[in-house]
Amino acid sequence: MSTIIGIQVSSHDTTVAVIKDGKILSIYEEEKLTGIKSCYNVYAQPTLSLKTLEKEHGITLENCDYVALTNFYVRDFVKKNVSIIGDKIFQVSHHISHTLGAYFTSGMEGKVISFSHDGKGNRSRGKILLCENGEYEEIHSQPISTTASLAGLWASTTDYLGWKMLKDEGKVVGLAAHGKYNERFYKFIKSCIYYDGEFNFKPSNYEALFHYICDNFYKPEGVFKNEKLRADFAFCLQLVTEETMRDLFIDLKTKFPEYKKICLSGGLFANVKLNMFLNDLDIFDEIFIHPAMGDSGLALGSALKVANDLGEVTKPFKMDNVFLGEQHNVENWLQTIISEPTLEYEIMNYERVGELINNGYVVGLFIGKTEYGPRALGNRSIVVKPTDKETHEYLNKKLKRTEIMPFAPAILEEYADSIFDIKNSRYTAEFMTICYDTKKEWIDKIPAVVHHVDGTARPQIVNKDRNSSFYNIISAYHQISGYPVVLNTSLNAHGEPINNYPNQVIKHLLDESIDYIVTENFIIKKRK
Amino acid sequence: MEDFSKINHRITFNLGPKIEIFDTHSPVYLIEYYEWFGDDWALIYTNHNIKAFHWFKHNKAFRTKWQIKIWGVENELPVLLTQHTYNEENKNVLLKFEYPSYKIHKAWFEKAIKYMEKTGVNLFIESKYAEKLKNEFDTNITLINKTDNFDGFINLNQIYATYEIFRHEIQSKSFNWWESDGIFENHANHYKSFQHRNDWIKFSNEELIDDILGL
Repeated sequence: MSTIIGIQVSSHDTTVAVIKDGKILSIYEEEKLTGIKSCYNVYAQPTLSLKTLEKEHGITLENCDYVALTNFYVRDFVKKNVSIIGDKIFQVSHHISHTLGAYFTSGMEGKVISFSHDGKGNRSRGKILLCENGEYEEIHSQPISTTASLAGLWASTTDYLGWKMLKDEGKVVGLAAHGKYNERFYKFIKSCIYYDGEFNFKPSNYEALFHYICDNFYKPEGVFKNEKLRADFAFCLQLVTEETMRDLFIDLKTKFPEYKKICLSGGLFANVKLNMFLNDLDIFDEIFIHPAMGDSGLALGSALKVANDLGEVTKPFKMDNVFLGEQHNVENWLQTIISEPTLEYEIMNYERVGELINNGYVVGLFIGKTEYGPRALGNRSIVVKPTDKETHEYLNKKLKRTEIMPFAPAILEEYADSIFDIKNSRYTAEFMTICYDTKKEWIDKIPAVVHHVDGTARPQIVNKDRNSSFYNIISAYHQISGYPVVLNTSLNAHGEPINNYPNQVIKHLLDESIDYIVTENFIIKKRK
Repeated sequence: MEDFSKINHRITFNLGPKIEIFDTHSPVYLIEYYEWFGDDWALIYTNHNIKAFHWFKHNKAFRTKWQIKIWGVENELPVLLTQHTYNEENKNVLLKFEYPSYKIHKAWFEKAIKYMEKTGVNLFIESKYAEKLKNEFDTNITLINKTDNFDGFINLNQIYATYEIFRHEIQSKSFNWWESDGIFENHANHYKSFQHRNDWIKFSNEELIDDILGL
């Protein structure tokens, strides 16, 4: 059995993943280690990720057995840092990394389709694999030169709306829910992208057509600055995206009727409303979206490909959780607390945390290892009670954020069905990658985590065994309040990645953007 | 789709493909340059800010198979107004020979005759050895003396394509540094310049014409 390091480096989402003896050992995302949000054109090298890997596990590029790289750009970096390369370096293409990363972590048995789609990577915009019991066959690749990208349209739209592409697309999804159908925008976006019936999106000049109309007509007219028109444009983009993906799904099902499950990966599937739409179509019995659906998932995917080639990962498995990042021990925390005289602490106690949440405090959780992927799932989360309508505005103000999407609920697994309409694809909801309808009787009870326009929510289903500390915290709140659900958002300030270091979150305590920090051992607050 | 045009325009390939628009159909146009890459047209350059009575020229000056599209707007939607595919048959093509020795001009001239026969172009050749070539070869190629025959001046508007045959400066290949995502200009082929299909460093002088004309 081997130790395999997967490395992803490109203009964004630099990540290092390690598989040891066929199991995922750790995944470090450079943005969380540097504290600099990885968006377009950051080009970070995996320096801190590799250092952390050595510090936590003693694994280096020198002493590992294999290195999986997702592009040539990384090869140059590795060459500079490894004296003996030999035969231990493998190149795994961008979309093979996406599709296999999703497939092998899906836990799906039998015949499964794995589909990836994003802007571009290794001359492709996406791939389709037919998989069965750990074996796979690539049946299609969407070539960059002759196809279009739905994800590309989202990136461009994000930019036109004044946000950062490859980072703020979620805001466009949120904005879409506030918009209405506008025939002019709908027809235009339709003219820029359609499904060609052969697993591709067309036309290849979609970006040119899109920019031609947006730059020369919509922008001068003020479309992207008008509150209503912005929302309508986002609405139409969401609508066209859903329709185009629906056409592909129908075609896949028609051509491969014996395949009843599908895994999705690539930045496009960070769109939780799209995922909900595709799930609700009932074309496939089950959908799984890889927790790190964007390019930070490539490092793991490439390492899984090598592990599969070596016969060390032979079947899809379920990830217990995504707590695979860096861990800070009690000494780290003690040092941090002692060095800051304005802090005081008490010993960690779940009931006390439940009480704090119930009393309306903003509680930061810094427990165990940092999450892998874009979602905070209980270890680097901010939790708040979900029952106040004004929480969205209050939290945005307190955290200095500009979230449009509603905050997400985290719910005890056994209560999930009583509050949300969860028909299928439950496993993917453990990673907060899909929306569901909220049952009518609950919409007014938990307004802070339900979209006030359409009544949807993107719940994180919290399992007692796989996410025990978070489960216990929600349980404690449940005992006091009667609500088995809390509001969960990531532990970071505006513009930051999910926080990874004690001193980052202490800063939030000191500036009073959060009221308490809960670690494995302590409940910390600012001295009054 | 067959080539067509709904607007008044001119497309020529004199030291690079040039698009001139003489039409007010749209306030601003989108132009697209596609190049044939083995089995499909690849979009290599676009510009969506071309106004009426303006022109744009792409730098790539060696002979290759182009397809050019001009888009305008109708009912607030993009509409294809012109599609033009490079086709030199029965059109005027000018070759400019630039080299000190007659021997090389002669070698290039022999290859140019074959090119003319193969493609059906009306060939014009500018050479400082025009008189000598006229005397030595009996062809219907129009020869122009570069240095001292001003009567040989050519109105470029009547020329469909022009190619300069000599060793051009090798330009940067930096536009292709991002190797893994060969979306740009040359689809990951390492053109050394916009004037040569390949790096000329290993070519003999006689072979330069083969490279530039893609013979």
